[in-house]
Amino acid sequence: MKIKFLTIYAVGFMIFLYLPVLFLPIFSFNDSAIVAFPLKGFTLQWYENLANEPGMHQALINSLKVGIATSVISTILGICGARAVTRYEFFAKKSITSFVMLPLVLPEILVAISMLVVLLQLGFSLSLISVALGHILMCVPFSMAILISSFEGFDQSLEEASMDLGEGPLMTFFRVTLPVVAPGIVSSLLITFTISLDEFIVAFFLSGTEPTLPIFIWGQLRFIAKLPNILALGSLMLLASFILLCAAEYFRRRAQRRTGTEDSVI
Amino acid sequence: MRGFALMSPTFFYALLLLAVPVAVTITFSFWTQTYLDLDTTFTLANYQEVWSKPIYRVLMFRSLTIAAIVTAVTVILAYPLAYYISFHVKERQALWIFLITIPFWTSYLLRIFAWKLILGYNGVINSTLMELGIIGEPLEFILHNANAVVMTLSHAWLPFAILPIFVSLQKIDRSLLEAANDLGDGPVMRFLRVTLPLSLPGVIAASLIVFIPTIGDYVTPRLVGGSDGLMIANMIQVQFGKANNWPLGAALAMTSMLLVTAVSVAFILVARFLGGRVR
Amino acid sequence: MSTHPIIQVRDVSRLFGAFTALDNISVDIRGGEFFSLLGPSGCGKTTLLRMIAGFDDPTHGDILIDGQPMAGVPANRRPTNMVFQSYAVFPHLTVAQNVAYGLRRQRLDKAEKASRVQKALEQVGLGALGERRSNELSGGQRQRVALARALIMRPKVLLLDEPLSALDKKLREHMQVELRQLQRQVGITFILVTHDQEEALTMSDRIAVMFNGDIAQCDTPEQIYQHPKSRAVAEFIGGMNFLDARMTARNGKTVTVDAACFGRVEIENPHGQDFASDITVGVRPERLTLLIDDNDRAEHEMSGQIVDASYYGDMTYYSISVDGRDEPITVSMRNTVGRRILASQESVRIGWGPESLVPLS
Ligand SMILES: Nc1ncnc2c1ncn2[C@@H]1O[C@H](COP(=O)(O)OP(=O)(O)OP(=O)(O)O)[C@@H](O)[C@H]1O
Ligand SMILES: [Mg+2]
Repeated sequence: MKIKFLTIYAVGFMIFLYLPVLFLPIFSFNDSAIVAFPLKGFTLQWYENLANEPGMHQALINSLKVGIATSVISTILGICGARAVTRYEFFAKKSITSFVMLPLVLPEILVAISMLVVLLQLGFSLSLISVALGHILMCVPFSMAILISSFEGFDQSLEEASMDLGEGPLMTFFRVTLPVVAPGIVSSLLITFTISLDEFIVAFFLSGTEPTLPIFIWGQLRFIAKLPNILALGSLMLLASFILLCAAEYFRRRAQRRTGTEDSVI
Repeated sequence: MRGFALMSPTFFYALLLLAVPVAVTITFSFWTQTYLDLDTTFTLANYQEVWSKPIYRVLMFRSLTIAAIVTAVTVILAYPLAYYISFHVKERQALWIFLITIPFWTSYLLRIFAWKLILGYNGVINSTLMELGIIGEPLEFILHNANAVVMTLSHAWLPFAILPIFVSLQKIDRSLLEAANDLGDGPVMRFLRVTLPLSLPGVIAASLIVFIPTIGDYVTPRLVGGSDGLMIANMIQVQFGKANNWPLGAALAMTSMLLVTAVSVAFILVARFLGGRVR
Repeated sequence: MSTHPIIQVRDVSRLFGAFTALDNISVDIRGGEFFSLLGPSGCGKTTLLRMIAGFDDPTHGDILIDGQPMAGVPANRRPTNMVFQSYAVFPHLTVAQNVAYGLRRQRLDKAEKASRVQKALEQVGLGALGERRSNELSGGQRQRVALARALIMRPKVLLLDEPLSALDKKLREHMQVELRQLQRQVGITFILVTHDQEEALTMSDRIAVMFNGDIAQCDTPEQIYQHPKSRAVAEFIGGMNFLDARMTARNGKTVTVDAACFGRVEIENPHGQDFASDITVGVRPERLTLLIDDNDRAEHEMSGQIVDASYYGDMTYYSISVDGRDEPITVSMRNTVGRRILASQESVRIGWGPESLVPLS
């Protein structure tokens, strides 16, 4: 009885969670410039419009640049941090770790304005670099969280076994450590890329004259006539995120199988 | 020492791009600015303005209230689902958790935007209701007010609230529950006396994870809030944008952070206290 | 088997903060022998083994391998290889790749490498599983991979940290025999860490029994069992009756003791130990005989009454109360054909000789 109620609740919950977002793709194929029921008919017109939107192309390129830089650098920083946390004891380990993880809970606007103040005070002009700097800060905690769970399952005796079989620390890292944790690293790269691709607030404050995709969308929201194009673009972005996330999940599970921590869910 | 060396790139990055900027912003909040001239004499004028002008107080209070309501709604809605996944899902737990986390990673802007489509004047709800003949005129009260903000934010933060609660439920040793049964508790008493208190850390974490960032939300009030749904972040943005009064903006940001911290600490203490009372 | 010590542990101590994990240990391990470190959990066996392998350094003292001091020599430069307790089979490599892991530095050509890997795999009975991955192996198979991977390196010393503890009883017993045979066959020195006394007794040439970071006795299995030096060693290995006694004389390799129900006896002191005058004397249950037939005779006899009998299938352990001692004495008897199990309250005679008694410190 109780279980049944909970099951219904859970299914309802998932519908509620996904339904709003599903309206984007639904209306992106709707042959009408206004978003309203009933649906008028199927069209690919809005997607075709997108293809002829030069601003969008530039924004896409900007987003990719920022996303790639962010994912690579934040994952490298995440590897250092995760390795330090899982393998070593050091002074004020807990406080340092919490501090690095802090952007996870801080309001993004605080991060954004603080960086804005400092960058402009130091005389930097806003650019994609400033956006990437902000994104890296926000992505490091996620990267660390993913990598810590992937490194934690890593049995230290694997490295000892490698040393025992004649390899030095460097070759041990390349022949054992890296391959075993590689899926976790790929997962971190994908997740941080996705976050950067979708991030709005920090980019809003720090992007200057070079918009990323979300900033481009934000700018277009003012024009009612552009709404269907935004729907198409938004749907594509959702699809991209979805694919990236599925890939990340695939690699995360593989990482767990490698390190033998199969049953952990998170 | 090797550990610290390894940690240092990550640590110094955060120090340089988070701690230093926040410190500078705090310093800024004690300065004043007229147009482009920055006056670097120490003053509390900005804080006085923040506390004395009704508009800021109203925004501050509204942000806190909205964040509190959103937190309560999300945690209450999230708990049963986390409970369901932890206790009643046997085989596909990882899949459920993955499905819940997908929205959490996808574009925040797009998710809020979707709500604008739903709640809008010609939006999904209004057009559906009109099509069905239930209403003759589009409903105006569903968009551009604080309710819409609460609704949208709650939806946006739901996945965030589930994870910490789920983790704390997973950690509960199932034999404790059997022990409670064995000692005479029924399902309800067992839940109140064992499960709930043991999952309290997760509830607290979920609350903070939702509450703190929600205060500073900018997009939702702008898109669905109208003028009486605006929150403090919108005002901060105005100070950094059009009004071009950065020190005041900084003071607003710091004041709201201070309030958030105070409320959070109070919340933790109360929750711990109440949690400790259940026996 | 040469008598040249392949490993010399000299006055080695290992401190973790204020805690002493190893306390001034010295031991020589001979080339080609099967040597076991036996002791209860936490006594420092793994610590000692890891220092030999090079994963940890002594706080004081030296370890020499083949006469060479090992201070400052990292694990990858030592002529030792290890079979890890968790096996540490690389999860991203196949079985064959695992076994070939250490050969990279030897720059063998492909065919040579493959044939050596195949030989090593066959040696441990995994000839057909070269292409499997580690998550497709059972516990016993992983163990064999770890073994082959270490043996292919042709180490001077193979270190095994409780290699059998994760296996079920049947497989463990099977692997004990197999390991012993393998060791004979390859002639490499094996150092085995175990807390299982039977495993140590059946497999080893010599055993070091450790307690609290110290080696209590280092000897052949027979000596350890028949002539334990101390009550702690005797208690850890097999069952024993302990009697409080007085030592009345000490004379080179014998002592004379006055032990409750046994009276005054001169017994062997093979280690030539010094004892206090309050001495403990130990008697193994199987070193006493029950004289069941009226015309059964022994060198010395005493009478008693059966209190309890525990039936173990092949053996029966009797608790027997005797004059001059409050606690009953345990005597074991083999259940040979036609021998009945004695009942409680029956009166019996116990036969013994001086060689039944062992002086303990
Ligand atoms: N890195 C360390 N830091 C502090 N104490 C340690 C460390 N390593 C081992 N010890 C302590 O040293 C003692 C000996 O440990 P060791 O691992 O050698 O025991 P062991 O004989 O192998 O036991 P087991 O049979 O349980 O494996 C233990 O009390 C252990 O707690
Ligand atoms: Mg051990």
